[in-house]
Amino acid sequence: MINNDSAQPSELLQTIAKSITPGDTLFREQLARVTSLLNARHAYLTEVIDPETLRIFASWQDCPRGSTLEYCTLGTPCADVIRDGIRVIDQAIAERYPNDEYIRDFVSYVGCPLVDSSNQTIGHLCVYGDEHIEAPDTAALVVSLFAAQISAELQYKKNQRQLVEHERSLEILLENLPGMVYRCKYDRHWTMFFVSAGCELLSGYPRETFEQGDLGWADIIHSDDRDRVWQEVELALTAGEHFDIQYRILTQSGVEKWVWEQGCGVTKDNDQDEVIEGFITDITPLKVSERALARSEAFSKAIVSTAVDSIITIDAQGRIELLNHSAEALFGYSASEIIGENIRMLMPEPHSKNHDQYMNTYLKTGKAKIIGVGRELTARRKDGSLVPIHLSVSEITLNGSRWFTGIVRDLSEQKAVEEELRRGHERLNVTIEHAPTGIVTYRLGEPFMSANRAFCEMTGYTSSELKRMTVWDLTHPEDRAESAEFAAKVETGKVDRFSHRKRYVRKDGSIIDVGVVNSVTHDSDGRPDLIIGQVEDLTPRLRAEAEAREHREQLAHADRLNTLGEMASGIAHEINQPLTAISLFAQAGKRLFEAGNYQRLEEIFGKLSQQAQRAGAVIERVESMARQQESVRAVVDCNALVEEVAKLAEAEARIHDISIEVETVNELPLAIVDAVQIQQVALNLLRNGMEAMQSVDCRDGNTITLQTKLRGDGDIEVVVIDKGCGVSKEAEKTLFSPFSTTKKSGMGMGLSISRSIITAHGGSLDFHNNNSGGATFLFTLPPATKEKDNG
Amino acid sequence: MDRKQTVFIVDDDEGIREGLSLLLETVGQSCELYSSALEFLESYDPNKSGCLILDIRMPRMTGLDLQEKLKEKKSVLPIIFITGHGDIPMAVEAMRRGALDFMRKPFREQDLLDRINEALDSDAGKRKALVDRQQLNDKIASLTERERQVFHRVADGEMNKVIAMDLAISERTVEVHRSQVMKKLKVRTLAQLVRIKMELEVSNLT
Repeated sequence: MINNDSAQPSELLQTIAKSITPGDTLFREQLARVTSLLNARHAYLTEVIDPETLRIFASWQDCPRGSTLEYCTLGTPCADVIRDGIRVIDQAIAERYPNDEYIRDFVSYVGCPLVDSSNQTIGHLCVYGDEHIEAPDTAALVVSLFAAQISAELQYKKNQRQLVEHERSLEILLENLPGMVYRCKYDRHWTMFFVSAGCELLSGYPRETFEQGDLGWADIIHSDDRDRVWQEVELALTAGEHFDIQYRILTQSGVEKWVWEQGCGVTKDNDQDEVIEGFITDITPLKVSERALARSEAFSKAIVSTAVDSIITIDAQGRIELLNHSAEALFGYSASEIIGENIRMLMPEPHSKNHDQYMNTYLKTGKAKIIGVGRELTARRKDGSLVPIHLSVSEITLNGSRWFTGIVRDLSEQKAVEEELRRGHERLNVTIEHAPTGIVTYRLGEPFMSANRAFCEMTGYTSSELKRMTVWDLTHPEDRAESAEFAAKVETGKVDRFSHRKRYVRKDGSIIDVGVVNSVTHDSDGRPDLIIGQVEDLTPRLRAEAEAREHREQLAHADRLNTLGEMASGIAHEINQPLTAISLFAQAGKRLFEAGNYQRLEEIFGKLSQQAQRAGAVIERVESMARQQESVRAVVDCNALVEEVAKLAEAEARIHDISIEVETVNELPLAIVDAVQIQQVALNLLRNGMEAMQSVDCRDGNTITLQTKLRGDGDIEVVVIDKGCGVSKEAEKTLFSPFSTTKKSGMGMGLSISRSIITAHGGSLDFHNNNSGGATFLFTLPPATKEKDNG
Repeated sequence: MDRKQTVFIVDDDEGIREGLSLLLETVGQSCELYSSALEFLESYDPNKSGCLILDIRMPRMTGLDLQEKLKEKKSVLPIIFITGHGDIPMAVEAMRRGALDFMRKPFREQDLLDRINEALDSDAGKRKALVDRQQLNDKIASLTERERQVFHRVADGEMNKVIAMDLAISERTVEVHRSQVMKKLKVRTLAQLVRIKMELEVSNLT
């Protein structure tokens, strides 16, 4: 199909290059070239009038569609091209489009759309042949190349035409300016001696108005411009020069007009007053047009700069054969200074140096690195600056010679966006990498995909080691069951986010406690995909907690010992009672025995044992309070606990003539607590209350009440209601601070420790003064069923 | 120790009450048990002889409070306080207020029994002295004014003659009054008369 009879291919391409350089508008030549290249008969160009109508604006040889300029596309291959893009029908065209009467004489057809800068189809290029096309791909390439050039050219011409139209409209405007000639006095009033007939058209006033002195010209000058006009005229006349000013006037009908006045001073021989002569013309349309022009120029520039892709064609030696307008703009060279030069001047090193070799390699081996693929590269502009581009290269072979056409797209903007994205991504990566908590990603059952620095440090493994390990490998064997449970829930989509505490085995074999928060992402089918885990090493926190607990326990123990010390006389009394009874029973028994009266001995032994146990119980209570033991939490009945506390405090209460009333509620839930510590708190509160009641001044009764209650929220409440003098405002502030006390003896640690004990049990300790005198201290404890939540 | 006297035991501790009563039972001493001071006060009979074993610390009404109440009732019942460790200041106060004794728990049974005997003796003695004083007062009350004047002067060792002159009566009349006084006071010798006068003066002092 390539025309072997035509001129040398190199010449041909030269011609093409020339024909599409900017300024050359001979579309007919291009049509001639493309017809000749494809060995076809006819070619023409159209523009779209409406979706079904095309207008032919250039054609080669007789138009196949006769003398018609506009035609309906229905049933023609052109309709398909306009709608769907490039189309090559290599044979039997008439059979395909039986309704198109004009194509019956032809065999083949190639059509390609013409597009504007916003990629809208504005027309098409089509070529009609008498023979079937042997190489449809090449034909398509050639036609599309021409179509691209013509599109760019059309765009350029359109812009040019718009500018030309504006220029022409200005000329016409100036030629037809309305205006008036005048002569006036050189005074601020612009007293007119003479005005021409144009006056009425210009100002709306009849000339007589000014000539008879009814109005001075100054009267109709826009008040904002009046002073400026006078100053400029005065300046020019003083210097003996012409003046040339633009200003606004208000016509008789109140319309604002722009006028242009030129004039000069004329001095009469008889040395009379100076006179001014001049010409005033209406330039309002011009002013409007100026603004319009300013707008349209900016518009044109915008269109030209939003260039279509740059196109450069080189020969097998790398010499530039042709380039389009857009390529000129991109690289900063004009066509004349670059055609014939080696393409490598548009490349930075090392490509510039190696390009010849690239081409040789390809020409010899046919191994293409770029042809037909398209890739991103960097190009060098005339000013030496570099620009990221996308280059796709097509090869054209004509008569055994090879040409390469590159379509170059400026990627600066795209690159800038990509760079911003990449930086954002990098920042995110850096943030994750340096985050203080461990962050990992993985899929269920698969090795870690990523692990940040904190996670590596936590586990002792490097990130590459972790990429060969799964979460399972890290998890402590005893915690694997729970992890498996979670995994199952994730698998079945039951949870999207879960957090738990577990243990990891580090690389060195040591065990750490970690808190894990896992979020699950889903793929497009909604199945769980990635798991993003945030892992916190709890070891330091747990250690601190353990230290705090130990500290609290030591304090609590010290407080208990202190309390016991204070209670010593009461405790002694408590033990003395059964001892006294034992002594009495024993002596009575001895007497009975000596007297040979054995009948009551059995009863006496029973009493002895009973009293001994009673003493033992007191000692046991004291001992448990005095013992320093690791905090042991067990299921405890708070009712029994307060009963025990009441017994412990009973002796002391008796000493102070106070009676302790214990009121418990039935069905109180059990609590999981350290019984000794909770007893200590209850005892502290009870003894504080009793102490408050010893002050005779404010004592209001001698009963102190110890209650258990079940709160509405399910918590257990232990309440101590005393009949003392209540808590004073000053004491309130420091009540729970260590070493604060209103008592004469004691460390003042009691309430502070008590509160810390209750807080550690997940409860709260508080107080209020009673309306009827005295104070109520109470603490809460979560029931055993709730305990889990409090960790 | 078999007397018609009662040991009253007031203690809120049942073990101690039982122990004490059992011990006293073995020595044949009858006793009554009270678990609180109020309970005892309610059934208190001033005519009952015996002694009170009283716990110094008790709820509601302490031993000291009960001691005060009994004093108000002019009770002579001797009180032995039972005290515990650290109750010394209270025990001292109790003694100051006239308690017979106090015992610290736990106590040796012989000490306790001895104290109880002392207390019972003391109560018995006091009650006898009271009866004697009453009889004497009755006798003195039976004398006429003139006989009482003569009784005091004779007991002070004055001669009949001197008495007759002071009272402006005859010596013979003094002698009649004197024999009448001896008859009424049921004494035969002057020495006995002098002793009655001394007893009167002692009881007036107390």
